[in-house]
Amino acid sequence: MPVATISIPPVAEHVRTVRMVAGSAARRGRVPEEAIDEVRLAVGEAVARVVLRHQRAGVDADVKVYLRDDPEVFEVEVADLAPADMPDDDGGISMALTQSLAPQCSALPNQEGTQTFRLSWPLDN
Amino acid sequence: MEFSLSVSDNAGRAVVSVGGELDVYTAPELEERLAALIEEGRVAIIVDLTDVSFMDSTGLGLLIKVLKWTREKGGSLDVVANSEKTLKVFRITGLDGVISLHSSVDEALGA
Repeated sequence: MPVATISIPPVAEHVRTVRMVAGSAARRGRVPEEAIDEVRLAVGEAVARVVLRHQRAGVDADVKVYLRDDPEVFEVEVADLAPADMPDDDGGISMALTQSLAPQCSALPNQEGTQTFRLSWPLDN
Repeated sequence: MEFSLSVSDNAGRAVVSVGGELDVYTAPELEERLAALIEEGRVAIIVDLTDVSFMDSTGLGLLIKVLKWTREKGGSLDVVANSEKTLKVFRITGLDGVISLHSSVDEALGA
């Protein structure tokens, strides 16, 4: 079930807010305490990257972040409305860091040629 | 903790002390300060991240950029970091092998 949906303008100063909410939601979603910093960093990376991609692609629409938890997983999705084939301009460092931090990370293609990034933290039951 | 920046001179090197969260929002301010130092010809730089509570890849990317700038001018960049959280970001990306990391400003000054 969703625990939070966050919508922010594609502006860098709002990324910190999403990081803080993600950390709180992860704690409430029973992510182990030692992994909370990783959640904050990974979600912050994913959101910052999409904010910058929106800016570069001239997409004014908000960046939407969905945080969900169910008994088995804590999941975060970040919707990227920039064209999926637009390369990053940071040499891939942000994506590499996100993929290293989240136990599961995938890019889900959308029909409009965009994509949604899903980060998942399996929970011990 | 609010983002903070201060610059001091120590043994002929510019020591830039950063505090708070170094991320996509605050990194441009640090970049501006570092670019100004290099423009002034102060190309031996120590960036002290001891009081940084959070750093993302934007901070890392900036350090790589500054490393390149200082090397092009015959200078150097040394970074002080001792919190596990900050060091982990360097390790995960492999940049601990690219950037000279130190546990204190004194150690960096000796490098």
